Amino acid sequence: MIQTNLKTSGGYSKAALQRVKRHRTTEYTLAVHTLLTGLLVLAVSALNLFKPYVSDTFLPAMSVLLVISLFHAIALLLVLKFVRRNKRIAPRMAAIAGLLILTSATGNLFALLLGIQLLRRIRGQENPTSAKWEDIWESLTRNVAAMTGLSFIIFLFSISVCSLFTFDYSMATENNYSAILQHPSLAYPLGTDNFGRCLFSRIIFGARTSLIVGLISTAIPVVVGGILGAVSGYYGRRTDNIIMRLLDILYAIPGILLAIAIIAAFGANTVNLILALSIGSIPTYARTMRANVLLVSTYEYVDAARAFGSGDAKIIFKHIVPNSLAPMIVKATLTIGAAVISTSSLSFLGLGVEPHIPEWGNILKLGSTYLETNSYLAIYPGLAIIALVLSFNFLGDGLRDALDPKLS
Amino acid sequence: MRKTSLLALLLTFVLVASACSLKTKTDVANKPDNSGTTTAAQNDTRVDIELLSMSSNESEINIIRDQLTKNGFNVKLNLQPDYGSFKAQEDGGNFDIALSSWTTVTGNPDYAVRSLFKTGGDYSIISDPELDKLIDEAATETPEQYTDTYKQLEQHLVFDKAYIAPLYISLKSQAVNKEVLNPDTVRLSKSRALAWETIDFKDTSKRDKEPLILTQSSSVLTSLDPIKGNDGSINQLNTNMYVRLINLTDDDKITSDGSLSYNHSIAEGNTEYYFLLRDDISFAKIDNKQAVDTGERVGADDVIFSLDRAKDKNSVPDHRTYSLHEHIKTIETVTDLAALDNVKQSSGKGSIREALDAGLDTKIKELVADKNQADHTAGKYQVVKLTTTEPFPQVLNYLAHQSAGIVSKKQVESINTYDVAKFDVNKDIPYGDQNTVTEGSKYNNTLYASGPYILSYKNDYEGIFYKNPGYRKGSKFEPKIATVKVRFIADSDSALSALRSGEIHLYYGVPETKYDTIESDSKLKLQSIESNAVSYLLFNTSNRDVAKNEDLRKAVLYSINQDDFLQFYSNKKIKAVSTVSPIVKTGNELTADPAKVKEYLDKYKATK
Amino acid sequence: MGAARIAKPSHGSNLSCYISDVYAKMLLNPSYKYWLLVLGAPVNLIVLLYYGLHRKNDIYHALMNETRSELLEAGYLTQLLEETQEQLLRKQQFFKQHVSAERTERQAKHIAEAKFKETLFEETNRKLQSGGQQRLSYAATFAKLIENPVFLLLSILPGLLMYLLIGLYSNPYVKYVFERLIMSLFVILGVSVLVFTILYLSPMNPAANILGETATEEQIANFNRIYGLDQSYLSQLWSNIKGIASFDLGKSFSGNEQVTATIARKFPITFTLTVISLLLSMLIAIPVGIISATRRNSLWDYTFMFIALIGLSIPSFWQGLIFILNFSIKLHWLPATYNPQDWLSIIMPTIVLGTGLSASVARMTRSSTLEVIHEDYILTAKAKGLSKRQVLLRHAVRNAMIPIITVIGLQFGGMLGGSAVTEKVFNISGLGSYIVDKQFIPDIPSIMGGVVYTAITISLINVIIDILYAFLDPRIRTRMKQY
Repeated sequence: MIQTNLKTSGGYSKAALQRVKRHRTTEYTLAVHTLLTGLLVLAVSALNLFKPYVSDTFLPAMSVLLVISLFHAIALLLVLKFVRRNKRIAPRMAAIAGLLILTSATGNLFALLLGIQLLRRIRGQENPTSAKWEDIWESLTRNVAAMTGLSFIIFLFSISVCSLFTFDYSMATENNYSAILQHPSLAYPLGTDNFGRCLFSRIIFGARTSLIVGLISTAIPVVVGGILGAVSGYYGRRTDNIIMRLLDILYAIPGILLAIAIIAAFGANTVNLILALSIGSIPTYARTMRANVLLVSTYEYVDAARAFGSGDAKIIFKHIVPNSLAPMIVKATLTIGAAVISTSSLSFLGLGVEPHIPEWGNILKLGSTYLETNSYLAIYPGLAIIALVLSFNFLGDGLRDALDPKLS
Repeated sequence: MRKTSLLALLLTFVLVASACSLKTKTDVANKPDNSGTTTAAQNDTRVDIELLSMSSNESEINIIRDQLTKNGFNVKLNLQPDYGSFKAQEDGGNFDIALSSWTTVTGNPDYAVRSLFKTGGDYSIISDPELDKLIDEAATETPEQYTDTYKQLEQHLVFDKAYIAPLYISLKSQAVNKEVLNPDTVRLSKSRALAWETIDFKDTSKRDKEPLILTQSSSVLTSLDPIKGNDGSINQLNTNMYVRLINLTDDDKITSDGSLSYNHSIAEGNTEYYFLLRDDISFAKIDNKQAVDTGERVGADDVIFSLDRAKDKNSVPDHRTYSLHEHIKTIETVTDLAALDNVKQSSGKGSIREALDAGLDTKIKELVADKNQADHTAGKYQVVKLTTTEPFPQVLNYLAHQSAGIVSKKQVESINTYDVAKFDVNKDIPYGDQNTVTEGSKYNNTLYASGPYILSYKNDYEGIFYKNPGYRKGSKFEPKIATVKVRFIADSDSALSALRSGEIHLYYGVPETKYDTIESDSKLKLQSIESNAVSYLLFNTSNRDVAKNEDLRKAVLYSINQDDFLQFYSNKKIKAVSTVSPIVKTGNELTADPAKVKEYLDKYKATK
Repeated sequence: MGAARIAKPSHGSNLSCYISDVYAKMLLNPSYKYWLLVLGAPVNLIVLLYYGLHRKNDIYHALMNETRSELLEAGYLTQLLEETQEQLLRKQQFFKQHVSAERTERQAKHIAEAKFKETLFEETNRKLQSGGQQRLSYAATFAKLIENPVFLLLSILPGLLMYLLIGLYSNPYVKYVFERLIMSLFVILGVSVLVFTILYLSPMNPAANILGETATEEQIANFNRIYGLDQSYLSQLWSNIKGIASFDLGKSFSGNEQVTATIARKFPITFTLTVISLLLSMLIAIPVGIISATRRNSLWDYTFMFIALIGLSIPSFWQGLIFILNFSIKLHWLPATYNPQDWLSIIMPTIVLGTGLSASVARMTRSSTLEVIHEDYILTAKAKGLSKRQVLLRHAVRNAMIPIITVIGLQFGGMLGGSAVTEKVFNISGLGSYIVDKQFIPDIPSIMGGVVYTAITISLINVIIDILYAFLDPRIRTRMKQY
């Protein structure tokens, strides 16, 4: 299923690309992706129709999703008609933008991005940073691979949110001894595992856990490492020395060993897993941030801010940090994938999240014992992990190209 | 674009069309349900229950959690990565129910209940005078008598008081590469570890040329001194390195076959036990990594020495098995033939001498004190007498355990020269220390083996055993294959892969979920047998609601559906009622009953 | 040092001059100052005494007082104050800030005083220099004393350590290497403390696990006593650190093995596996990266980079299991488990472990080659008429190698640690799987040893890489000399 999803998203990205080439507006690309992601979520959720029963909220949720998709189609048409390159957008589009932002509650972040983009265009482009933003977006939307990756990630995010209403959690967690190890069918699109649980539902619910673990265990070191790196780079001298030497200690222990030590000492659960993965990667982010801050601090505007009498904290967080974020974002995107892989490795070693919680590493570990007899149990979760990691890597590469004009 | 809008249209249509016929979860749940499991879930409040287990029992935990959840409990998991932390949590009382398992390695029912359920037992947390009485009563009874006693015990333990909730009996299994080995020569016993001496190649000319390749998971061996270990890392190895006074048959009957005795007999009163020793086994040692016959015979002095140290807690540091032998009072050589004539067998018929004489080529003419003078062709034998602290026929089962293996008095005394009270792990090297057989600078193999094989050396990947040249030479018990290589493969999936790719010949202890894989492989043969391993849920007896409230315990007990386990393991597990179930067929059975669960839960809630 | 001592009589003044120069420089560096004073305590004591005695006669203070009164008389301070106040007011006006007059005055006074002191200092020094005199500082005292060959000779023995430190400091290479080693030492110590603390805080109970089900309280207490688990945190930590330094961590909790001996036995296979994987992936990945970079956006580039991305995205245990199923069970080509006697059995683990590394090295090679290709010196080389191939190999790749080597150095650590999964899949009894196994007990000395010795290896390898850099990369070399 995931495989076909990937193909579909790749397919429509190509179709989208051709249109973009003609119209060349970022808004158009975003609108197309918004609509398609929504439809894909609808289609995947609709597979539940073949199940013996559906969750109580299935029908209302599907209706809402359908209405939202219709609205997205209308928004696409409006964008096609009224949004032109280098032209100011009429303020009445603000209502559409607002609604789009509201519909992003379904997890369809493309709608959010489109809404924000429209609002920015409506407000005008006097701000010089806005031009830069514009360039980045254009570069990114022109990158097929990056957009494919982003689409898959947003699709997963959206289905994670929507599955709260359209999928039945008990299908993924409650054992059904009469349906053990069934091959893929319409009722069980990816078959069932050795407890008779629907693998398809498990992968859908597992996406939530995997995304959360991946995102948080990247966000924590980005924030902590970023702050340490910024402080270290800005103050220099002794502060720098102390912080960096202490981080060198963390840096010397291979991440996976540190994670193993922490998890085994304090037990295997989601929180410990996230902490263990986070702590190990603090030094890398701190180093990246520090190097950027060292570079940025030499720029004139920082001196200007200092002359203006701004406090250190203000200088760091208002002037230096925002301007050194780009490499951090690229690095973070590229390492979310690594975090997902590490999670599955730790699950394999028996140190992952609690076994009954659907998480891709858990599902893959359980499935891989059936690699030969019921290969679908091992193949689909494996492909799901590969697709997610690949998507983050595509996106990361795309972001790097977009943010670092030196290479493009 | 057109395609996608078409798709959307189609979707709408499907949705609208199916909306009328679609069943939602509550529709399904509200229907009268005769499977019954979901009805209890309608209860207003869920009862919290904490399940403690090791994380390796993933499947069981999942099934129990599922069953309890469906019966109106809210299950909290307390998963511990290893036995140590599991035990710590159990001791600390941080659980309502603990997933436990027990294997009666000696094959006697007493071992299956005494340390578990008797007040003050090794691992007992239960104190119930009624149970104590039944356990002690059954211990002195014959099999015919104790069936009923154990039935009463089960009734009290499980159904009346619900101290435990039984889950299942496991199978014991092994897979043989039948293209290499002759599967008929590979024994599979209910309790005892695999005996290597009988195993033979399909092509018997390979006996001396090629090694038999087996596998076990642990490469760290607790100790090669039989009394210093009782775990999976050494059970099989020590069983094959040290001969015992007595053996168990494949179905757990006591036998002298393949043991150090020609015959054994129980004296009237069930406190005295006589063994007629063989004189055709001598110790082997390792010289230049090769097995050599020391010429030193295994005799009565070694038996007395071995069993004395087995029962004495202070004979070695880290003694792990003394509680198995606590019933032994004395052990001594008998030199007076008249003593055998004057004592009657426990059945009351015939003297001990008659029992010991049975089936001998040359009857007993003389009893000798010196093992070197024993000669069965001349009728000169050695006899040892074991006395128990109380009438206890099941002591024989404990003597068949690997911890009662016979070691050389001379050799062990010459190695273990340290003072036990002041033993220093960093300085003193005890007999059987694994470092002495591990390749490297510390290698100094001082083992003396009385069994069919002797360990020459080991490393992280394998241990090499050679056959004992002085072990019953020329008899059918003489080891067939000259070299045995035990590969250490930790993971069961890896071991299975190794078996299938032909790297190992025999895989002992195949997980139930892998039976299909083995059966589908044409070069493999799967053998399996009911084992003595029982899994059960143990209730907290000290500090939780389940300790005080019998109704709550019974609610859990009747939530357990053993059929689900059987179904999950595609009938590769067997129903159980208590830990004696594999040994004594009492006729009891536990049936899941959601109605009873509801009843007991309501009763429990009423008390709150 | 010996050569220096023999050469001393003839070049005495030169040498002492050099020494005092370095000495003065070192005094400015806070951490070196401390060690310099401690290591050369006997010599420094004498210098200090001498300095104390002669300080009173110093003309510096008199000169400064004189200058101060001169400046004050000239009304320099009031002038400064006025100037500053005006500047401040103007700044406030510009930024539209409203500050009370009192506060502005205080601020101005503060700034003016600072400026005054600065001028005073400068002026005094100027006078001192024009008079051909020198301020008697501690360093100057030392310089004066050391010029005396007798003092130098006498101080050689008590001050040997100090002179060694001076010698070390004076050579930028040696100093760099030395500092790098000291840093690694610090890191190793830190790793030991960190890992021990994590394990110490663990709520698990090793005694109950190892002694098994029949253990009594007495047995557990005895176990804890033998292994020192009943002692305080600090004394346990100290004995562990001592153990690491002396390669003697005692015996493991279970199995009664010498921890360091076991690690020494298990380390080689992990190391071999890692090194072979490393070499293999470099052999494959670097050419792939270069080809991708030179044919940017070609089909080759896309294919290679896509494969590399897949390599980064595949969970290694899953890859291993698929390999075993196909190559061992179905095709019977390679053994499923590792066996030291069969070299065929190391092929699959090497490939599985090397996949991730190959992928990241290929990507890194591509991007750093791309970056280098656009540098000016490549253009120059091209302009010089060198063939494309020569430019590529002689200039581009050589320069691109530096970040690649960094990545390899970093990845090496990751591989040593990450080999645990591969080792588990292929039943390799290496350090990684050893640590994972011991973790469940937890066997404190074993885990300590495993993690810390891995970290030491990684640190040492990184030191070697850094030092190689220092000699190879001209940019780093110049930067090193600057300070």
